[in-house]
Amino acid sequence: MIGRRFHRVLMASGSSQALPSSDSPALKFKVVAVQGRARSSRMTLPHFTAHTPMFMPVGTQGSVKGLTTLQLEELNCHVVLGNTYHLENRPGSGLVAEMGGLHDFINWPRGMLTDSGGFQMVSLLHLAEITEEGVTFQSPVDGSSMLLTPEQSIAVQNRLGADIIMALDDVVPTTANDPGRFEEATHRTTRWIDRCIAAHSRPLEQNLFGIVQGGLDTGLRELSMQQLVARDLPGYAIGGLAGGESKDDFWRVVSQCTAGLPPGKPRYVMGIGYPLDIVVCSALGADMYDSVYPTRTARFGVALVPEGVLKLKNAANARDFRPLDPSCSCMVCRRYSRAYLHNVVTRGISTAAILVTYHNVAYTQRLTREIRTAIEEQRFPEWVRGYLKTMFPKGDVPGWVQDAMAASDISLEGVVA
Amino acid sequence: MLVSLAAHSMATTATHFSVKARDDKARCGILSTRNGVVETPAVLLYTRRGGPLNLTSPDMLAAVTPPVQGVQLSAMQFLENPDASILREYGRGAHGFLCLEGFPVLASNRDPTMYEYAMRPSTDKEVHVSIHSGGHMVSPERYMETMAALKPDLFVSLCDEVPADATSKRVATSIMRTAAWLDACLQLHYTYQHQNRQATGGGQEVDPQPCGGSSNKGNGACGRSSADGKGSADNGSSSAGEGPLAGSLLLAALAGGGLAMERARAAAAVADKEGVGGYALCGLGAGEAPEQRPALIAASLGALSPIALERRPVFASGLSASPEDILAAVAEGVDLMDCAFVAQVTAGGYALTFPLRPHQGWRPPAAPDEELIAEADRAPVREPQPQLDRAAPPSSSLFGLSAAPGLGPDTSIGADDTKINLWSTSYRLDKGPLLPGCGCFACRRHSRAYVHHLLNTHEMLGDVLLEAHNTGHINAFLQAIREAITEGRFEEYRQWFRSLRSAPLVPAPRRVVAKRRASAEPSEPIESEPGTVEVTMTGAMEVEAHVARGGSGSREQRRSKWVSV
Repeated sequence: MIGRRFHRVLMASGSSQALPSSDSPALKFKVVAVQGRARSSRMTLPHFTAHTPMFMPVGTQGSVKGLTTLQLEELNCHVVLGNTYHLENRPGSGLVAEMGGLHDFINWPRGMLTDSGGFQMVSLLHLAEITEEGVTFQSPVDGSSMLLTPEQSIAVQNRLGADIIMALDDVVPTTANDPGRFEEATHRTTRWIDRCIAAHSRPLEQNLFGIVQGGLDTGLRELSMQQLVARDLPGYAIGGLAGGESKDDFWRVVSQCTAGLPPGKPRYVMGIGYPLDIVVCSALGADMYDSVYPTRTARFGVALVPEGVLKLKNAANARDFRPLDPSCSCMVCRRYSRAYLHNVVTRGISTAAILVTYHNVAYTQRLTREIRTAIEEQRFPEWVRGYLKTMFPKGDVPGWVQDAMAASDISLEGVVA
Repeated sequence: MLVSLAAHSMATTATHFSVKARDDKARCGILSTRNGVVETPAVLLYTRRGGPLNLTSPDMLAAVTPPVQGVQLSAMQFLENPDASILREYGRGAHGFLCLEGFPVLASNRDPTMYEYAMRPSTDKEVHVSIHSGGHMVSPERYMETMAALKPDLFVSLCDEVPADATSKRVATSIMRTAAWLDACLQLHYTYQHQNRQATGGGQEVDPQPCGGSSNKGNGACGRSSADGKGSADNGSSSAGEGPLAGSLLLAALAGGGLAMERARAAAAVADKEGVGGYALCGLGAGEAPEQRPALIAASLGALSPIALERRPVFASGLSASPEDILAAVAEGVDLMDCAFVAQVTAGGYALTFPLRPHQGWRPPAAPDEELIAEADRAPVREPQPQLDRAAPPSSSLFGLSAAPGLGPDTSIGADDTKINLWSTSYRLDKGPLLPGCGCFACRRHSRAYVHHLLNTHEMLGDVLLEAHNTGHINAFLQAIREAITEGRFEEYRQWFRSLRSAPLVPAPRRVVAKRRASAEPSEPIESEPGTVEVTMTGAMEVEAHVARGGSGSREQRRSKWVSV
């Protein structure tokens, strides 16, 4: 039945070729279903075959905030993130390499992705300065001057051994009001990708993704994309977002990039974790997301639910014996009540934080699974309408979401007031 | 007729205890509850506000090996946020609310990791506790209302807890109050057992009169059919009523603080009062020295008749439950303990590594210390043992330190026979499990290096893994203890365990001699005893160099000195 519907869709669009795919030395990407701009795909990595669109929980320092790797498997996570900056600090990529790589060190058999370390450098450290050579910053250990170059970032990531590694990019916050700086960053990112490619010592085991920059300037974004695509990388990330820009600017950049990047390669929007953003980006044709949001907000006592968020510390929850999300079938929602968690979350009892974290990860995994299934069953627009109706029962869908859905060819009839 | 009535009431009880084996005062038993069976002696899982600190239920709790047998919670932590009314509205008791289905739950009056009493004075009517939401005055009524809402399998009666250094006058007052509150709790227990008056199963005649006052010594006037009209072996407090506390066993608080005679007096007054289903040793872990504890426990339990103890489990509340605590308590006849120890060592970054069974053919040492010293004096000088193993396996080559088993504990990093400290940098590259041979979740799946890293980066998962391991290790310890009791060798087991912790019975290598003068050349030995130099550090390097110089090469007869480690 699904096959027939694919066929109809393909014929309607006038194209009869196979669905997009690509074959890189260490990555095979295969779109298995398309509806509008959204696609459901399989990404075969050295350690695992991931299903996209997918959300990648962040295990910043080698663990996803209290969850065991067995729990992550049970929650159906396919790829987990490690932060290069933090892991190089402690325990050090050399030690990880001696331990057999990050997978063995933390005992995670599935997919792993490491970022370049550049973002933390710029966002966490004072007086970080970006030059052509790399990022100069003060060492957090002794304040001495340190330099992170593209070569060093790749070397560290080679030692960590993740399936996907990120190029060091010159990332400028989108709120910066300096067009010259954006232009410089765009070109530098291209020069740095070449240095990253040259430095990459494990191209058959690790996939180097490039990161599209350009701020909010369509011309720069176009340029950045062209230059990265010319390097024929296994996958591409859309960077420089999730940093304070307006939602309207945000979706337009994502839209331009998903339209401009090759369809047969995975598209990774970095730093996306709000469920609504995941839905919008998937509608626009993106495949991969990462964020600390679901796990971090859990530790603040906030659970992700279809209606939005549930603030557990709110007094209304003291006598509410319903589960966090009555429609969720995770261990926490099957066994615990809001009333119990209300009292113990953020009170210094780790298990409470872990339980909410567990649910939030389950929630985001369920969200992406529903997106994939809806696309594969050719009812994605219907699913989106149902999702938005639950989240905005009064019909007050934000303007930017409406615009993005229009650009994705998804009608919001019956949803918007 | 006497016997069959008693036996019949046994058959209808929901929570029931029986002794299966004895070794002197130590005993193995089976505690059956509606929510599962506990093989005693057992240590109960610690919970705070109803939840384990780091192990999520049900998945991580179920992953502990050997399994968690029972759970302890403090009823005082359910006086507010949540309180009894919320729990009642919820309707499924502690087991449902806290996701503890399948685990016997003991609700005590204390959290073993903190001391909630003595912040403010108590009165004859109420005890004062300091909990997460502040101070509360707790009367027997309020206490039992909370118990009825929690519906635990066992619970401790309200106790006027006093610190170990309380004056005899204060202790006497606490005994009086605790006795009065016991009677109140017994009465309320009865009410809460039969609240929804329905026919009890099996035809047991139940006299609806409530229990009498403190002068009642279990003479049958207490509303329960007692076959002989006097104190009986029947604990009777978990008959098949339909109220919220039907099936819950009341453990009478045995007070008396740190005064043995007072403890005996208090226990004798409780005796086998009707409705008392077990005993809770209170007032311990309240500032007394650990070596005083056995005598205090013995004072309480010694005042109870063997028949009274026969069917009644004994719960020791507030002990740290370190291995030594456990052995001492079990030796005195304790069946259940709550546990602060696991929480404390886990918080300190330790993994328990003490051996659980003597090796094949171990025998208690017969020779006294003096003999060994004399023998040592006659023995030839031994090479000092370097603390750092230069021939370390590749996995720890970077630091030259080895935590490999069989090499003995490296005391320079705080390891002893009990535990290892995962904060130590000696574990940075250690691919081995926390404890080689341990089959727990943490040891099967992760390395010391990873746990060290998690502690270093303050990741919650570090505590999760350590708690899983430590909880399992303590459970395995109790398993070994139960084996020892069943096989009649508990005292020998205790001796063996003590021997792990005693000072070495072999002389230390001779390397401590005269002081070095600051001005002296490092390579030049100074005067005093010929060919000897005192090492100012315990570092092996210096000792090795010293030996290489032939410093202690002399084979003269010298008095060996004990080296304090």
